[in-house]
Amino acid sequence: MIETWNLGKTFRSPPWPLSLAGRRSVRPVRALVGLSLRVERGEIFGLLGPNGAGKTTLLKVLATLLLPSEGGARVQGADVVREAAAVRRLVALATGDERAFYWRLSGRENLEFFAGLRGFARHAARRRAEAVLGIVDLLSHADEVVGRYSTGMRQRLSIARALLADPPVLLLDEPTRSLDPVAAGRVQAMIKRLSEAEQRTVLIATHQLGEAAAICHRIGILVAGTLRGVVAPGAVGEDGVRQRYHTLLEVQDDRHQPVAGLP
Amino acid sequence: MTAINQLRAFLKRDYLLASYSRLAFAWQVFTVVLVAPTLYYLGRLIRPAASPHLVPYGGDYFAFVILGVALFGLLAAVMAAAAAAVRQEQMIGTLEVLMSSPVSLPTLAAGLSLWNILLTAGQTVLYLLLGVVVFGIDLARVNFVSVAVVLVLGMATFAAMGIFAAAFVLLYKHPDPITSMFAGLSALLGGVFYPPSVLPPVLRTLAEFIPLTHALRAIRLAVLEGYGLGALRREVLILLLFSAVLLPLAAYLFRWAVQYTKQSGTLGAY
Repeated sequence: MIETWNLGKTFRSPPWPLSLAGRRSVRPVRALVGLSLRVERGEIFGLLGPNGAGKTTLLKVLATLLLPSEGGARVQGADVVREAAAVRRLVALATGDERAFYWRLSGRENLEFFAGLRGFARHAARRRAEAVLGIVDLLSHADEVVGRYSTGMRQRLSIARALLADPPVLLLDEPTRSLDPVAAGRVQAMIKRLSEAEQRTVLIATHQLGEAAAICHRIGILVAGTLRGVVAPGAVGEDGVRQRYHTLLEVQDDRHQPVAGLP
Repeated sequence: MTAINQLRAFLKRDYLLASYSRLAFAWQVFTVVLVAPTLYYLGRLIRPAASPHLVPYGGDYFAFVILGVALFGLLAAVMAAAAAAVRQEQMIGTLEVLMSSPVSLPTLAAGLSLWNILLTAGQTVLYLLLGVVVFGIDLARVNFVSVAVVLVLGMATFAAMGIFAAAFVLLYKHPDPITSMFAGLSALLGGVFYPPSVLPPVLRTLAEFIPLTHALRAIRLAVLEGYGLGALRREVLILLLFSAVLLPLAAYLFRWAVQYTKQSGTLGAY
């Protein structure tokens, strides 16, 4: 289960001397604003929104890679700030970042390494890597170096990595972004299976309205860092989701307005 | 057990990555094979009578300098390993995924450094083997307990400097200047190639504030003259003080740097 309350994230310019690392100061940007959300066990919850809506920011806060500026969040009851170590054992994040692998190692070697980081002993890591490679249909390419993988294969490898430790909560950032329709359909079916058969909670960020409507129980429409509404595709259908999404997109983006108390 | 599995995973990964560039490994061996005889022939220039500064260490310049070079190499590697590894993970884009794994920060710092430290430790052993087997250094008087204690304290002190450097890399996304500056200063003042007693008084005083000075002095006396911990208590206490002060400070700064990058959203930036 995932719960957030009044969650906010503002990116500010670093103070001196840390500002020496950047090129110039920028205005504060509010990536998330007062976001309150509850995703139940076994639910697939979609985050739908345009670029810069705050979808990845929310996933990273839940994966403990970002600290919230206001409010808070819990995963399976563990606080993402105060109990970050516990949260990291409960969640797995699959990003669309292709660079997040060791390109000179094979898919299998990568997965065995990350299984080791999850605490698996040598043989258990090997067995687990084999199992998740099978789930994402990459067994026949397991011993090729990741540098030779296609973008879609790396995407599937990223999902395989997220499944290594069998976490109760999966955070998927655009999991089908670079996949062809057949491969995307397979990944979507796999996500549904993980939720339905294994009661995993899945939070999935996507730009693709059709995908969200096809696999999510509920969809949160995120615009300019705020949760503008939640729709249930089961009740309104894809057209209903589309209509609601476009209506909510019209609301003005005011994130670049001055932040109270900041220059 | 989990930490052991995590460290093993880091070691296997680094072994596999290193096996793709065997040339680098061969170069490390070649360097030792090249440097050791150079130091030996340089040592033949300097006779005990010509250098009273070497008398406390038994008078043999080759034994003095090869111990200095070997230990300095090891401590410098301990210092540079974590920062270099953090920078590499930043550049290839894997730092965020490592940080989202359930690995504690001390295990992460150790795991990132371990392979390079072990490789350099192998180089250190090779220096000593060549020194003993080929060039006849007399190690009959080694006090192993003193060597072990001084090594642990020296490595702890240099690891602390390395963690400072890793924090710098996290914050500034830039190869750190701390390790090269500190290594350069240590080589100049710490007695790698000559005893600090040859330095002018001002530099000699400065050398006392460099951990390497005490680590090298203690190791040489323990290896070449068989000094026990009692005779080395001054050096041991100074190294203990350095590590007791620097390690917690470095751990605090590294933890703060991680939290800061999570706050500013720059953990994955490079």
